[in-house]
This record gives sequence, C-alpha cells and structure tokens, in this order.
Amino acid sequence: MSGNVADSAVSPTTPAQTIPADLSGQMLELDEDDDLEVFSKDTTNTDGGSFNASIQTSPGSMINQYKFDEEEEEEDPGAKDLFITVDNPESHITTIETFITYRVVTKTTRSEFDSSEYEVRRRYQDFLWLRGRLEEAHPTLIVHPLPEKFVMKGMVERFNDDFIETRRRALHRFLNRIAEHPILSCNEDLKVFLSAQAWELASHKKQGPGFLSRMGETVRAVAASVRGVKNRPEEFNSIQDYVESFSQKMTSLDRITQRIVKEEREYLEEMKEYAPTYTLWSGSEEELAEPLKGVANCLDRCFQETEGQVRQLSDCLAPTLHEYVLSTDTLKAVLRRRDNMQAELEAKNEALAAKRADRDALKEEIDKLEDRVEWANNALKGDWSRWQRSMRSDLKDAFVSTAQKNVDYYEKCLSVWESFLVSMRADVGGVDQQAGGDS
Amino acid sequence: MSASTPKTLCTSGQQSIQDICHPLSAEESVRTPSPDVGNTTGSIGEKDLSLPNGTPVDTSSPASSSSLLNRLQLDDDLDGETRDLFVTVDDPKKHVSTMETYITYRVSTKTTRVEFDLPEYSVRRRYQDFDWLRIKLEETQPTHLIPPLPEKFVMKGVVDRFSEEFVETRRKALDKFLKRVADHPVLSFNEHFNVFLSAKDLNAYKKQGLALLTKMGESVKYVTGGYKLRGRPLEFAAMGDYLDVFTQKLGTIDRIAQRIIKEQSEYLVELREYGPVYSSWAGFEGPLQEPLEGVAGCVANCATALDELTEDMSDDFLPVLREYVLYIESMKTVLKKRDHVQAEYEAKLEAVAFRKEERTAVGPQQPPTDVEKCQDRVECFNADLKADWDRWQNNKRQDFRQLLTGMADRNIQYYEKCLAAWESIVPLLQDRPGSTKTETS
Repeated sequence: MSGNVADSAVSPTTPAQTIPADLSGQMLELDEDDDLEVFSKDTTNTDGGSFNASIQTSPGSMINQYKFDEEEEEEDPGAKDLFITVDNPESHITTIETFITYRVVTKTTRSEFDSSEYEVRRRYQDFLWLRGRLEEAHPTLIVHPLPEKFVMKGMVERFNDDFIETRRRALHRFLNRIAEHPILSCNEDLKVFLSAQAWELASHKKQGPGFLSRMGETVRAVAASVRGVKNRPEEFNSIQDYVESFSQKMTSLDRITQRIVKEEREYLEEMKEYAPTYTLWSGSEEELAEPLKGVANCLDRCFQETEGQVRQLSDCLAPTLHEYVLSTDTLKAVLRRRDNMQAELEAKNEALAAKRADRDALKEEIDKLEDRVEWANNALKGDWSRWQRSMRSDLKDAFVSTAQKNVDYYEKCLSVWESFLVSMRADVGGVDQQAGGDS
Repeated sequence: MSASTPKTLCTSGQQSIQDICHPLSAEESVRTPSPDVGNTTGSIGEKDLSLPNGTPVDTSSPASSSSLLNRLQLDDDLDGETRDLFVTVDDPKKHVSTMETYITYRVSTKTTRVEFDLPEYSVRRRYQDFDWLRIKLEETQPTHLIPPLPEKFVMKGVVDRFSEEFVETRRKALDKFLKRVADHPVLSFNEHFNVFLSAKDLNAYKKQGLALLTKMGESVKYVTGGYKLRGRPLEFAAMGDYLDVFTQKLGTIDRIAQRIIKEQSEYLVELREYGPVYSSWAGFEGPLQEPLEGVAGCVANCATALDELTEDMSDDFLPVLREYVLYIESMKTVLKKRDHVQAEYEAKLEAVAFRKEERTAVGPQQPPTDVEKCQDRVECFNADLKADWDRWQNNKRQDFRQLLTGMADRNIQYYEKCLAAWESIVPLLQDRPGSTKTETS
C-alpha cells in the first residue's frame, strides 16, 4: 500500500510547509505557543523550486476527485501535498448499535507522516471529535462545518442511501478543506485521525492533552466576553456585518430550497398516478387511444426527468446552501472568540494602567497577548479571504451545475411534448376520414 | 323606474322582485326591434343594448357578423354542411338590485332560418334563463341528448361568484352549450330555443309557458312508471358501459389534475419568495453579484411561466373535463328514459298478447293502437338516441383531441420559457476571468 514516492529529495528535519501567498502576503511571527502548530515559513516556495517539482510528480498521477478552483490565488496548484478522499460507506452492526463507517484514504508527501499512503475507517463521531480538537486548538481560525449530527425525524432516514451519500460528500469536503488550510492541515490530531488504526485513535482520543488549560482559557474568555470589545478594528466590523446579512440570506435560501424540494416531491407523487390514468383510459377508446397513450408517455417521461432534477436540487444545491448556513455559525463563533481575545487584552491594559503593583508580570502577559491577538487577526483575515473565495467558488459551482441540469431537463421535456404534437398533427389527416365512426 | 344619473352598474331601483323587469324588457317600447333593423352597418342594434335607465351598455365588441364568425368554435367543420344559425355568448355584466346581484350575458344570434322573424338578435340572459331552457329542452325532447350546463350551485366562500375568472369560465361553458344546441338538427328547431334567442321579455314567456303546460298535462313527459326492463339491447348496454368507464376516468383525471395544480401553486409561492432573496443577497456581494442577480431573474421568469401554465390548466383543461362529466350524467338519464319507454312497450305488448289469447273466441279485436304507439315511441327514441350518440362521439373526439393538443402546446410553451431562462444564465455563471478549465458538471 505504501508506494515509493519520490519524496526523498527533500527531508528537512523541521517540517517544511508551503504557505500560500494569500495570507495577506505577510510574514507571520509564530511563537511556541501551545495553541499553535509550530512550523517555519518559507516564502520562496511559490516560484517552483525543486521541492515543488517533486511534489508535482508524485501526487499528480493520483485521482483527484474534486477540483479546487483557486485560480484567484497565486498559489501554485502543484504545491498541494495532502490528498484525502472519503468514500465507501459501510454499515456496522453490533449488539449495542448500528453505525456507518467511511473509508478515509490519504496520500501525502509530507514528511511528518511516516508513510505516504493511509487507509482507515472512520465514523461520524470521529469526525466530530476531530473538528472539536481543531477548534480548540485554533479558536480563531475558520474550520469548515460538518454535516449535521441529527436530522429531523420524518425528513430523512439515517441509513437511507441518499442521506449517507450526502453525508459522505460533506465529510469529504470537510477533510479537504482542512487539508488545504496551511495551518489546520498541520494539526497533530488531524494526522492521528488520518493515519491511526481504530484502537490507536480510541486511545489517543482519551488523552485530551491540555484539557484543563483549555478550561481555564474558556473561563477567562467568558469573563472577557461580558466586558465586550472596545476598539474592534474596522475590517472586522465589516466582516461582522457581512456575516450577519449573509447568515440571514443563507438561512432563507436554505429553508426555501428545502420547501421547494418537498413541493416537487409531492408533485412527483401526483405525476406518478397521473400518467397511468391516461394509459388506462386509452384502453376504452379507439380513435382517441393513440393520442391518450402519447400524452401518457409524455407525462411519464417528464416525471422521470423531474425526478432527476429534484435529485440535483437535493444532492447538490441544497447541501451546499445548508453547509454555508452552518458555516456562518462557525464564522460568528470565530469572530466572537477573536473579540474575546481582544477584550482580554484591553482589560489587561486597563488593569495595567490602574494597578501599580505587579506591573512587570502583567506587562509580560500583555506582550504575549498582544502577539497572540495580532497573529489571530492576521490569520483570521487570511482565513476570511480564503473563506470568501471558497464560498463564491462553491456557490457558483452549485449554481452552474443546477443551471446545466435544468437546461438539460427542460430540453428533454420540451422535445418529448414536441414530438407528441407532431404525431398528433400527422394523425389529423387520417382522422377526418373516420368521422362518424364509433369510438 | 326613476331616471337617475346613469351609473355603470344598472340597478332596477326600489321595487319588489316581481315587478323588476328584465333589463331590456318589452316595457320599453322603444326597444322593440323595428322592421328596418336589418341595416348593414354591422353592430347589432345599439338600441337594443341599453339599460332601462338609459345607460348604454358597453359594446366593446359589437356583435357584428364578422366578429361572430370569428368567435366560432371548431365544430363548424363537423358536418360540412352550410350553417344557417350562429349563436354567441359574451359580454358579462353585473346587475345589482336590492334583492340580489347577478350576472347577465349577451346572447347574439345571426340566422337565415325562416323560423326566426329577424336575421339578427341580441338579448341578455342570466344563468337562470339558460337553466330554464335546458329543462324545457329535456322536457320537450326527451329522446335527445341535451348538452350540459356549467354547475348551478357554487360553494359560497370557496368560489367568488363575481370574480372575473369564474364569470369567464361560466361564459365559455354557456357559449358552448348554446352552440351545441344550435348545431343539433333537431334541438335547434325547438320552439323554446327560438324564444330564448329572440324574446325581449323571457320572463313573460316563461310564465305563459308554465300555465300552458299545466293545462296540457304531462303528455310529453315520460313518467317513470313501474315497468321493469328485461334487458337493454346490446348497443345501448355498450353505451352505458362505456359511459361508466369514461366517467370514472374523467373523474380520476380531474381529481389528480386539481391536486397537481394545487402543488404547482404552492411551488409557485416558494419560487416567488426565492428569487427576491437571491436579489437582496446580491446587493451586498461583490464578485458574486451578477451571478446572483442572474439566478434571481431566472427564478422569476420560471415562476411567471409556471403561473401561466397553471392558469391555463384551470381555465381551459379542467372545465372541459367537468363539462363531460355533466354531459355523461345527463346521457345516462336519457338512457334510463329509453329503458322505461321500452319497458312500457314490452309490458303493454305482453298484456295484449295475453288478452289476445283470452279473446280469440270473441271476435275481431280493436287495433292495439296503444301498443303501436308505444312501439313507435321506442323506435323513435332508439333512432334519435343512436344519431345523437354518434354526434356526441364525434364532438367528444374533437374536443379531446383539442384538449390534448392544447395540453401539449401549453407544456411546450412552459418548458421553452424555462429553458430560455436557464440557458441565458449558464454563460453568466460560468464567466470566470482567467479560467483555464471547462465546466464538466
């Protein structure tokens, strides 16, 4: 399973990563904070050095199921070195429960991975865990949402094929977004998720390092949030406003799209009964039999095409819109956390101004905090552009495929009725001669 | 009536219902058509078409011969014979009185038949009058299939009796009804039909007719006596069977079509909400603005197309189904009447045969004129019915061919419009400056 990938050309002791130039083209000062993965930045990678060349050859031959349309970035597409696919859902039945696992296949040239290929099976819970860890580790980075844990009863069955397929696609997108992210993709928990055997993952999950320290931070964050942020930078204000409006629109669109799918399904139910009625009727007619059968055929074809069109809506457009609804929750949370950080900083500065005692210790804390806030702001700005680009690209793709499907749908229905009409008109010549006959 | 300031709605003023004249009643002697009405300028007597209080009725489409011809339905090709009686129903008007509010329709006639005093008539009739006519036809021509009228009663609160849609649907059905009667070689010569088309004051005639009927007795009515039919002749049994199946199929299609229209209307509601959301979202996007506006426009166009399709279905498709359901009901009644006539004949025949055996010794019999009469009746009835059946089958075929073709046409239009809408935004959505890939969704 592990191939001999030509990755030995470069084997630095410290993990080398390519950082896309979209991170506002800034030099990132990364410190050894627990919160952040440590890596050194190499800004020369975008001009296609030998490192990139090797990367281009190895994964280039692999199946890349999903295109990433990042043409607006200056990033070299060949710089991608972590490829993940999620497929092959299988159901597992135990005495206690039934659940689905998905196969997660990873191919990579990154040196922090021991091997260049991995294949593991993961269940939804595992994805949830991973995302939780990523958010904890990077509270001010935008982590792609997961499909929902629960679904409304009566809407969909958990083990229904469509549902599983929709979920699988969303999980695939989730991992790929993480893999694209310059910081998140280096996360240790991600690595474990992608490579560990089931039992290894289970024991790793139990460790939860730094749990208590996270608790402490959370408490502080909550305390800070009560105070509120005083001087939010303007760009975050406009991001906040945008997210508000966007969230509103997405929720509406999501809701209406669901209702449209429901209406169309009800319509399909009627159509299913409609066409056969004409066929039945034609059985008791003579001269009208052909036209009636013709109509039945048209209705039946249109019914089938409509089924396809509804599927497109519910498999492609609806999930995309829904994902972005979930996305806005993440955005709001990230903005909030950033605010909290800033609020904490402001609070400490005020304390500094007020207190005389312990100034040095406080000053040191403040310096650290300032760095963190600044880093968080920059990272968020970078993530924000990345998010916007993804959003536009995702939605455009969804619209395009919906439009193309619709064009195809209407064309097919149109031609079915047109050929019926032609046959009806051709009949007319023969019919008049039969006028007066019995039916 | 008080000649108050002319209003657009005619009111008869404060009078008891019995004294309220039909608009254009004979009281206004000025309105009686004069011998020289046959002028060739075209519009049928503007003098006919004004209301008691002097307000002229709006004749936006004067019932000139050319416009009448233009409004003919398809069945003028039916027999290929030269027509000599053209009838049209149009121009609905609302009448408000203290007692009630109702609609009248203009009934315009053009004819060369000698049974009519004049070549042209224009009268106003309300639904009640059509109903009366139909009953009269059923009474006086019981062996014939009388075309149906649109439903008499509508659920108040569910249907708005004065909405444009309802009135127009009804008008079309009434028009069809009169045209069918006018096409019928026997019914069109019916006395009551003649009066319906030509009389200024139908009410007076109605009252008169009522008195006459009670005097004359029920000779024309076929009483459903206690005669039991042995068996329907094969051809009539086949008719009955066919009608049963047909009515069932129509009923199913009507039901499903209605449900489909309802679904489509609900879907339309969603679409009408959907488009604007994309539009308002576009308002605060940058690069995505055009695509979103495009999608919003597209959704709006599809919504309009769907609206038209649904409306056409309601206006043109469903009424035909309903009309035939009503038609079939009246046909079944006629079949039953025929059965009774036959039953009566058979019973009398038996009785005579029985008596014959008893009286062989007595002497020459009286001619069983009663039985002969019955036999005549049966034979006439059967002949009339068969002829009408063929005629009905023909009409039915034409009507339904037209219905199905219309259905195809409307669907084609709908799909064409939606196709055009979506086709136009595909390039817009795919417009990616500097894109090196082609979309292969």
